[in-house]
Amino acid sequence: MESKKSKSSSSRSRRRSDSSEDRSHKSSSKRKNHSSDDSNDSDHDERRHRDRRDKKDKKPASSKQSRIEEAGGAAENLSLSIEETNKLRAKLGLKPLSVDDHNKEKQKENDSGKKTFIDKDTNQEFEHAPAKNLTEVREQKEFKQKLDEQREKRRLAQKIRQVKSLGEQESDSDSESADVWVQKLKQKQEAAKKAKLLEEMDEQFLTPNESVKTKKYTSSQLKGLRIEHDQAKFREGEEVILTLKDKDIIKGTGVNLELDEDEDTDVLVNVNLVDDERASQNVENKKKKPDYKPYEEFDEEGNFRPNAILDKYDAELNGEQKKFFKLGAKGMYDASDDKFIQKLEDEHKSRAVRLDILNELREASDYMTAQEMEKFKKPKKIRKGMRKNKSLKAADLLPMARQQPQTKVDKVELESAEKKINLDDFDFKKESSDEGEIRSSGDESDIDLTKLDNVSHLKEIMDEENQLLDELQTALDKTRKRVTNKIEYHAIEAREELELNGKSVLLENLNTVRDEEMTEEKDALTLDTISEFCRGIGAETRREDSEMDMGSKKSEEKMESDEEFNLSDVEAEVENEKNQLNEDSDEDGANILDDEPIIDRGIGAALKLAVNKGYLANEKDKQFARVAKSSIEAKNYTIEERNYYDIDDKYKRSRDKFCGPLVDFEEKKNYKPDIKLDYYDEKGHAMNEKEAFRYLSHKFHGKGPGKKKTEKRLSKFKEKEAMNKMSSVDTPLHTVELLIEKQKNLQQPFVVLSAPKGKQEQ
Amino acid sequence: MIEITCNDRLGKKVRVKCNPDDTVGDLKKLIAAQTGTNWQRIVLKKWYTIYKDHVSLADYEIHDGMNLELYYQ
Repeated sequence: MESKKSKSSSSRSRRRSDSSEDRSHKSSSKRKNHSSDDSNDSDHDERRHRDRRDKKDKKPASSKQSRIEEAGGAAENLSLSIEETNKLRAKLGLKPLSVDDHNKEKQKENDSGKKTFIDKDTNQEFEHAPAKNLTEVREQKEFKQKLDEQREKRRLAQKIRQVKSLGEQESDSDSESADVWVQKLKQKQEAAKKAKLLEEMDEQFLTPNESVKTKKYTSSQLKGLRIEHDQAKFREGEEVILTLKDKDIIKGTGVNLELDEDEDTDVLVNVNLVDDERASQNVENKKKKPDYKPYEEFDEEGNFRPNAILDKYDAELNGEQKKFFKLGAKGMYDASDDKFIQKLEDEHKSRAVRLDILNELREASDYMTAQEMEKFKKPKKIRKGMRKNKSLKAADLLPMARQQPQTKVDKVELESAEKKINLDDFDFKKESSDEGEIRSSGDESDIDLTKLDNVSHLKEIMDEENQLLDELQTALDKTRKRVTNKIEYHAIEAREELELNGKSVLLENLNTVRDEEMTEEKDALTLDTISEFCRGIGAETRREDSEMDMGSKKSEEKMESDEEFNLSDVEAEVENEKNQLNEDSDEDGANILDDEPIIDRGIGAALKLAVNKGYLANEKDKQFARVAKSSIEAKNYTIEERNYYDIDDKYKRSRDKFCGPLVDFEEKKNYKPDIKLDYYDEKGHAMNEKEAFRYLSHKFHGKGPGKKKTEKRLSKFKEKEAMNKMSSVDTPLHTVELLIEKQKNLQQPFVVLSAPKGKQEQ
Repeated sequence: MIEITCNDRLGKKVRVKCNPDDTVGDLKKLIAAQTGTNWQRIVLKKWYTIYKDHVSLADYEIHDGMNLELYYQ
């Protein structure tokens, strides 16, 4: 290449020298071109032919013609032949054109199957590697595989053909004649004979020790054999047939490929026992026990079991650990050791202390069990009687007293008639009587209830019973007395006071009479027609209340007497007391009907009469009435309903809240202030209500009125002021005054109200 | 040898035979020899690329039968 370059440079230098000549040549050619612009067709055709030939043969054209002219004349297509260009290149100092590129390519292609190309630009050879046809490759592969398979098949078939099957052999034997078969038999017999002979010879030559093979297989040879069953499964005197267990061909699996020596020994099993074990295992599996057993630290035999991690998978990973035992000498197994061990274990267990606390672990429940309840409950005392005693009152005892004779009659009947049936009834009565005794006399009866069972003693008991009943009667009298005393307690008290005071002899007499009556009367509550009548009227209730109301009445009367009579206090008191005592005595007295009260004594007496007569409603009475009514009222009536219907009721309270106190202020009854609220603004103007409101509102919101509004307001004020100042007889411009002055000046009683003529004209 | 067509769209279309290892300057000279213009006034363009004189045609990847635009400065 360097040489070429040098050549080209040299040619360039030459070209410069020849440039003038070059130009002349060009110009001449151009001239030629222009001269033949009008185009001769023949020339044109000739050129075309030449071009075609060029393309076909790829040979340098020999013609000198270099001008090309398009038929349309739109653009002149100038092209030079290779030779001409080479000449030109030589003039320009360039290397000649490399012509033979295409030929080379073609040759190469022809030489080999591979398509080698020479790059036109760089002149480097390259191969065109066609892309791999994937489907083709795959097909090839498949085909190869098929071939391999077939080959393998053929091989196997050949192998099999060599081996004779049983059938074939048979067929062979069948095909053979009977003679052959006989021959074979003979051969066999001979072989057997020979063997026998050899054996005999062996026996002759060998020592007796060495002839083990012929010895019988005895139980002594079973020593060391392993039996994979729990020894408990075998019982004495029972026959179990054991067979050799199948051995695994591949010893061990997975992790524990190392096997202990025991595995090499023969293992005996019984098929039935194996089945049993499997069945029991299945049952265990079906139970689905929880895998997590945190507290089972000991196995069934009481041995401590270390807490292994996920030991539930041990059986799967390491294979099942089967129980086994080995046969001892002479193929025997001595179970005495086991028995001894068992014994020891039992002993050990018996000595162990059991923790009962652990035994009682169970879920806590909110409710007690029946047993716990029993523990918790105290034994119930027989309280029936006791309770009765406590609440025993005279009123309760009253019917008892009435019952007594009846019971007596019963008992008589009881004696005569069936005894046993009435016994229960009797029991009850007995009990009740006992109670009565306990309550009344205080000494306890010695009668045992168990005695009652004995019917023979019934009579005695009856006697005792009668005695007791008598006692009871007396006791009841006492209590009754006490109760009646209690009822009249207040009255008696009052009486005692009176006695102490010794104010009235008459009263004393009365009291004594009353006391006598009391002592005479055992039944204080005897009812007679009069009292019933009175109760019906309502006097009875009044009597009950009278005691309660007494105090207040007293004071009332006192006040009244103070107001009306203005007597001395002492006198009044005495009188009042007297009245009261009279009343008391009246109330207490046998005569239940009141004496006609004397009205002329005062207003108090009149009021009292009114109350008694029922003209004035008593507060207490009202209450009682309501209580009495409540029993008659509808039972389905509920408070809810009332709320629903009575709207006034509903809103009563809330209305009260806003009403204020309903009671007048007594002390300032005459105080009626005249309140007037006046409002003034900053300038001291009085404001009316509306303005005041606006003003306060402005103040409250902190935002005054606008400028215009204030101005307006001020102007309004000014106007108002002006109006106030303005005289009522004159105009604001004082016209009247001026007129009067004018009159004075003119001394005329009139004024001419016309402008001068001259002005009018103007 | 490759043949390149150069066309100024004013009525001149030149087919030039040259080597791929010729420079653009050489091509211009050949064109100038065929058309009768000053080679220094020739500008060869393909779209907006103006070919420079010192670069070979192969480097510009100008192959056989390509059309170049021919402009004059």
